[in-house]
Amino acid sequence: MKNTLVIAAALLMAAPAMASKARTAALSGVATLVDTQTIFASPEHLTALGDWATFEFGTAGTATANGAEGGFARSHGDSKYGFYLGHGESIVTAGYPPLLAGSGNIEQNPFNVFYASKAGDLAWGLNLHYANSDVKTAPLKKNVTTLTAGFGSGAWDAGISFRATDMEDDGTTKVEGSGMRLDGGYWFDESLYGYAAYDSAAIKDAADSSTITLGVVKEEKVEGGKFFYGAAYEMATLKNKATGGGKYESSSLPFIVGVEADAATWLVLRGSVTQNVLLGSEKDDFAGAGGAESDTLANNTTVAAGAGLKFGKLTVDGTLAGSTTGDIDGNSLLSTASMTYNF
Amino acid sequence: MKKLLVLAAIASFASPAFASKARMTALGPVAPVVVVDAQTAFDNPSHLMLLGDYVTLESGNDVMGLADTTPDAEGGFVTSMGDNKFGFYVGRKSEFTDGARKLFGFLQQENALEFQYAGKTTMNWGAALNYSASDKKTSEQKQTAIGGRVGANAEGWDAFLVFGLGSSADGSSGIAGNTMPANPNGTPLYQFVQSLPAAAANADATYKGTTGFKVGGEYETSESTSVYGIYYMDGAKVDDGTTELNIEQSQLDIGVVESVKLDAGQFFYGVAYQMFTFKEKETDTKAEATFLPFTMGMEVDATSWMVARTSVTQNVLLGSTKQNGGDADSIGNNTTVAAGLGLKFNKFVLDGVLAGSNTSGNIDMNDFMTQVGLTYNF
Repeated sequence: MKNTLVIAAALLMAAPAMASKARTAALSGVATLVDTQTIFASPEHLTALGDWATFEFGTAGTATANGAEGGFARSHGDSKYGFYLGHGESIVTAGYPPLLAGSGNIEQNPFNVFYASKAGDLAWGLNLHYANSDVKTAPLKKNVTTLTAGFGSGAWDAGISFRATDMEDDGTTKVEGSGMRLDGGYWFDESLYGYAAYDSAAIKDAADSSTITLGVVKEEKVEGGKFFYGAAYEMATLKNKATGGGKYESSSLPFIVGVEADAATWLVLRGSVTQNVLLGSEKDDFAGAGGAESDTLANNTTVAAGAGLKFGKLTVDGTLAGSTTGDIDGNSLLSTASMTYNF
Repeated sequence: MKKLLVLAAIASFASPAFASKARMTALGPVAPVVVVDAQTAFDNPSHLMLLGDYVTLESGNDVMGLADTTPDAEGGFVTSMGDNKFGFYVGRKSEFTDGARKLFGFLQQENALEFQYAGKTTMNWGAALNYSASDKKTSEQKQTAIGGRVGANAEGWDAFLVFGLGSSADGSSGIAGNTMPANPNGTPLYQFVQSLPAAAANADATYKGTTGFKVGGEYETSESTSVYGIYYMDGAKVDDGTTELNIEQSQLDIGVVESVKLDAGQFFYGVAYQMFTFKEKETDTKAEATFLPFTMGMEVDATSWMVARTSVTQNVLLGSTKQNGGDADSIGNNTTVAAGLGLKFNKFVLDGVLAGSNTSGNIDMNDFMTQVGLTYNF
């Protein structure tokens, strides 16, 4: 955690308190990120961040997509507490990767409550996510509750997340999701970070899935920011429990390169590129037809870029929407924008 | 009233004299509780005593979710007269009256004007009178609307009463829609959809406003915490010769807000319990809704020339909607983020909404500044 704290401190100084989905997207969610968006999986990160309030732009969640969200974290003695609105986490909504379609019914008005503190060198944090709705006229009931705990001390960090309930019932069909996630990381030295995660999820009577990730990131300080590169080996398995008993298997080795640095006193630029390299295949016999062959992964080179505009304690973050079209113009300047204030 | 004075001081110095619907939009539904603004003087005219002299001009879409989506221009000025304040304002309309009349095809308020006057004794007090009338003989339509406001504030408290003195309109161009106007209390949380019988233009149709008032108050339990309550009701009778409708809607808000002073601005959060009721007595139609919205927001100086403001609101834990005694549905996703900027140019302030904050999520040339208001502080 020491290094995480150092990096967080570096982030706070070099690129102070960027905190947004836009930043996460522009950096391709690199594993070393400490951000207000990483507190959902690693609530102990609250202790590495200052006090903040963040507002993510967008519409209210639609039937199929989450949207606007926002929250804050404040100090209370040596501890931190936080409250966050609008951050969806249901797997029943999305289905679980990569083949279940999901119901598309997102959870309604979810919120998160956080608490984090330090005991000596050990930083720990808890995250309770809750959403409950009952639209009787539809009808559609939905309930999602997850509990996440995160720990970090010195060079290591670990977390566990437990999906207590993830249910929806339209009066005819009841879908229940469950699962858990274990993750951990270790700084081998001040710049080399290794991490692993095991993610298990299931939709009752439909599918079981598991994903194992082993990765490493090399992160180097540059003037006013950081440069990083790394790779992760990911293995995913999905078993069809509903019909046919089919199975989907995939493996990939995405390589990531990224940079985040101050371009001016008031501007932070960030960007990353990811692509699968060398290893990677996909075998889809989910429907149970049999005879599926293993295919290599198709082109998936993805560039993402973003900018953070700093106005004192206020930061406006956005992705450069043109990173997908190649344009940076007045109509595609900053998207997925957010505003964050550091107290 | 201490906090209001402090906030007024913030508004007057650190964030000088913002006065716009754009500001209210960006700060969310508790904005009237946490700031003093030329717009809050339309609930409580005693707020004029907490503001300097100014001219304000509004453009852009209506902020309160009026069914009319075309820009509602308005503007006015406030000037000192000895120790008192006098204001004159044009174009300000009632949410309910304008929305309901449009729904039933009557003339909306036209060329409305308002006189405001405020003074100070042992407390700040203020009063305002608004008036609108028109008579279009070629289409055989006419309308009148008269209303008043009174308010007071002092150390630690704030109270106001807005009341209608008469609203009538004759001659309908026909029923054009089936959606009732949004919540009357300035927070478009709920729209009741009622299927109205289609009706052709009818010069004999009449619209008459019934009891309409809004009463509210705020009390500071500490330097940073305020509790507030607002009750609003309004109604109208509509008769087009074949169909009679008698509509009435009301809303009660009870809330608490914590406001934290920052280096150059404020951060606030709070929660309110809201109860909304709609009735149409002739057809015995009824809709009820309850909400428990949590709101947090901030307004801070980003630079010496720019103020940024934003808020997020979402219902939490409690809340339901119910129509005609049917099943109660929980509140669907309503997380709303709003953001805006105030650009200061000497004594001019240009306020606007970052439109992408609650739509596309983008900040680009299409979504930069909307609902713009321009204010000059003397």
